Amino acid sequence: MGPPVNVPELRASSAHPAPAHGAPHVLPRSALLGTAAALFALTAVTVAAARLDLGSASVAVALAIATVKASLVALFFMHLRYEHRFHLVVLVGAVLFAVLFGAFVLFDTAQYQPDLRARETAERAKVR
Amino acid sequence: MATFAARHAPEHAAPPPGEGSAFLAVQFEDMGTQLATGKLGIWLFLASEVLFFSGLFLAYAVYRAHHPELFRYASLFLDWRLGAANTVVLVSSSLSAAWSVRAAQLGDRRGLAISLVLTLALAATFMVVKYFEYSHKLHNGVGWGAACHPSPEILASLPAAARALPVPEHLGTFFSVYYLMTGLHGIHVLVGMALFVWLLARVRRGHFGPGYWGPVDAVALYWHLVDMIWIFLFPLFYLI
Repeated sequence: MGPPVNVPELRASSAHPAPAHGAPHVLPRSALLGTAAALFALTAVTVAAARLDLGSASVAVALAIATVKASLVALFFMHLRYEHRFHLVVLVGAVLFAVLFGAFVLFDTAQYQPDLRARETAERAKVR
Repeated sequence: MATFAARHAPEHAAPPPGEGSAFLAVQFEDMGTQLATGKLGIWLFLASEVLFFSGLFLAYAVYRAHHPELFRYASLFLDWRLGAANTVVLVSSSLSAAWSVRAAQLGDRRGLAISLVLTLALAATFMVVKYFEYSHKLHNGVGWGAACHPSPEILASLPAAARALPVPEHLGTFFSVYYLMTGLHGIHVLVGMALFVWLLARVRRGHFGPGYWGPVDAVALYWHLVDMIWIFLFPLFYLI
């Protein structure tokens, strides 16, 4: 029978970061600066888009640009592009559940909106 | 690892603690397992943060979906130039936070200290701008909920088209959502600042290097999430 794995001698011999998990991915300077430049440019784009009169599409445009910006932050600054895939699953999973949560709440509140308005009108009439 | 040890050999007789195993917690076999476990833990925490903020984003979505005209009017009280400036400040701080992780991984202690100080300074700049925005509004009666009675001065500063309109009855609802969302975000910025001070104190003690940079990475990941949330708050409040 060999000794249990958790003995100090063995631990001392594994002082090098475990190669099993891969060496740390060090982001090159160009990737960091390029990501920041893209984020600054997209900030200018979102400000410019808001000044155009896009009507009801303006929210969608603003959210699309913000999503691209957030993805750049996640993929490069948070190095998700180089990480274990499961970390991406955790983040995207949380966002998907938030979207699901939002969709149901919006459907629900839209359902009782007419009743709410009718009640408001009735209360106003009573005050007068 | 060897290059880090070699570079610091004249100053440290013993290998610097940044080399690693001095910070191995009892429950882990090796530094690699500790790092991977810590990373997963941070990502799960960030997922819970996304869900935490999602409730407030949803409050925003519900109010805006049913009262678009109120949101269009109320956003005129916000100065988009200050919002854009703060976006630039926060994106820059994210860059310097990512830079600090790179410096720690490469064993560049000077670069690590400089990038952390820069991140802290940019975070403080963000809060100063936010302070001026909040105090300007609160001094002019633009509070939340029922406490929203804009002063004649601030109403006079609105664009001509808005001045012609009567002040909406439920203006305070917009500002409740505004103060809650930006306030919770601001609290996250303050927590991040405290974490950067903690990291800096540990950098001074020579804790981080190529063998041990997990805490720098964890705080940077948290900071990037705070940046991501602001990336959504900026167009949703300032650019309607």
